[in-house]
Amino acid sequence: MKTSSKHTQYSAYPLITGLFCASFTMICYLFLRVTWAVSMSLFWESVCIAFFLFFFLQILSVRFYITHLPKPIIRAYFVFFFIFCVCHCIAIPRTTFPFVPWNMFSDETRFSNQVRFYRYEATTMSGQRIFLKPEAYFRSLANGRLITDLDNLVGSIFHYDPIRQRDLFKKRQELIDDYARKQGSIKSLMSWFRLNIYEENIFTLDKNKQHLNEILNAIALRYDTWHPDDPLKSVDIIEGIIDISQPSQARPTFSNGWHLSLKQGGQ
Amino acid sequence: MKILHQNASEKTFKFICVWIFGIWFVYILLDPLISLAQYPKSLYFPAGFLLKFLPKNIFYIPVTYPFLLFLKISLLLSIGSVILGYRKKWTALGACFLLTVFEGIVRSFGHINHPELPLLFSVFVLTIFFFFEDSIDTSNKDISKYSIPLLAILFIVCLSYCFAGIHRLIARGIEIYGTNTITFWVIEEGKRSRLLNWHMEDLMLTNPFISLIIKVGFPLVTIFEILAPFCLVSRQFKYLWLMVMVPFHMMVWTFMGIFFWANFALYILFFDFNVFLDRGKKPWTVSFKSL
Repeated sequence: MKTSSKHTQYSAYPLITGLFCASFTMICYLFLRVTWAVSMSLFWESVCIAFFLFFFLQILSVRFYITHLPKPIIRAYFVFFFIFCVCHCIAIPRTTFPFVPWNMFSDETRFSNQVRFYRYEATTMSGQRIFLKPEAYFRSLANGRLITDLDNLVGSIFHYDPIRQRDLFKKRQELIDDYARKQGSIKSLMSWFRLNIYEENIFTLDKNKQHLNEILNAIALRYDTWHPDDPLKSVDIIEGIIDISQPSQARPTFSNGWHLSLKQGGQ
Repeated sequence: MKILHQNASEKTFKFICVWIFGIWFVYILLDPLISLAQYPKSLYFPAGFLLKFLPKNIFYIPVTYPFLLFLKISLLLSIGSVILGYRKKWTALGACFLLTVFEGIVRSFGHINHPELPLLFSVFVLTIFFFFEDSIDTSNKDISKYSIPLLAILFIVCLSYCFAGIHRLIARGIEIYGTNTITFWVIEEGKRSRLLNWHMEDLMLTNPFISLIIKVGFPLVTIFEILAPFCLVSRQFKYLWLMVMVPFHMMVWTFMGIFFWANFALYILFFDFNVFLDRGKKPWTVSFKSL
């Protein structure tokens, strides 16, 4: 590749790209620190990303390409990619969507030898037993959007952990108290930020049960619209468990977990 | 050494525009978005600042029947207008806004997943380019101006892989590669009552060969994910990367039921099809005059 005169003009390129990476890390650090919200491992992740990007941007062909791009579009894409990178590291997808953290297959709660899964079965008015695929009735929520949350909701009801629940509510109450007690102070601002920006929804067991019944009723309603001649009478959720510690002997065991007689509420 | 698409022609760029906006058009057309009006409102937890910070009196409007109908029609009109080249800049900007709302709504009722996001970002990138297109000096012989959005889209795809790989390695360390973690994920995801299940997840337990491939493939895929941006600068690495990632996606689909269709749609950008379009070999005989 020839070394053009324009190339030498951009001797500040390493400095500029370095500043980009450093400011990205700095913003992530400030965000995570000020809101004391999430693990600082996200900060170390931002450092790794910054180093990676910095070295990638120094590759000759990349450097040649970027230094020859017109400035206005570089600025526009710079802002776009900066937001893209920062939102990955601060990890508050419900607020920053469509800029989300790219976390896939890295959930920390999943180290177990027992895999739990749920089957949705229903009985129609004629007594026929059918398998329900919840996503089929709300296809906009397919590709895991509905079923992942529904399975998690069912799991949180079937394996209710009162201690974890109490801790979550306690933490939340502390934030609310902080916000109320020191109005106007930095701490109250941080509490507000955490409550409104970082807050993931926490519900009581009863509320979760109510949500589950509402979803099952909505699914049943959709089913009935499609099959008016034989509507649903009840919905059952069956829990399956597979022990994967000895794969060759792994056989699922099933147990009835939830029964909803439609329009009557679950048990 | 040249970057991929460095000399992309106007035809290539227009083909990609039609490809991306065309996919969205078909996707929106087939999506039964209006059915969401029947989903319980108590489970509506808005995704995205556009929806999350709406005032209380209009908070639930985005999930009402009239709004969803309006959203679908206006999305089809705006995307259709971009494809036909009618007031491209402004209709593309409208499409960006409406697509963000649409993607936010479908994630407001559940898990925030990633499948269509690279395609959404592609629309952002193309829209930004539409606004700057006329002001870019075309005298530069080294770089085609049409390469800019194509590379930016490809960089987004690569960065998303890279971030996912780095996050897995930093957050979970290397112990997940030596345990039953991947078996757990395959069984858990494969057993979900999805719209389309291949029911092949049990092979992970019953077939030692499949189990070995997936377990060995897990760390290998993480390494290739992290190195994804290098596809832009090395042709050999790009083919090697595709040889690993295409089977990986196929396995994730068949064993876990998770299909990253939008990523596949954008894999087209990994190939320099400039040659085909310019030589008139007609692999695609589409007229782009309207754009």
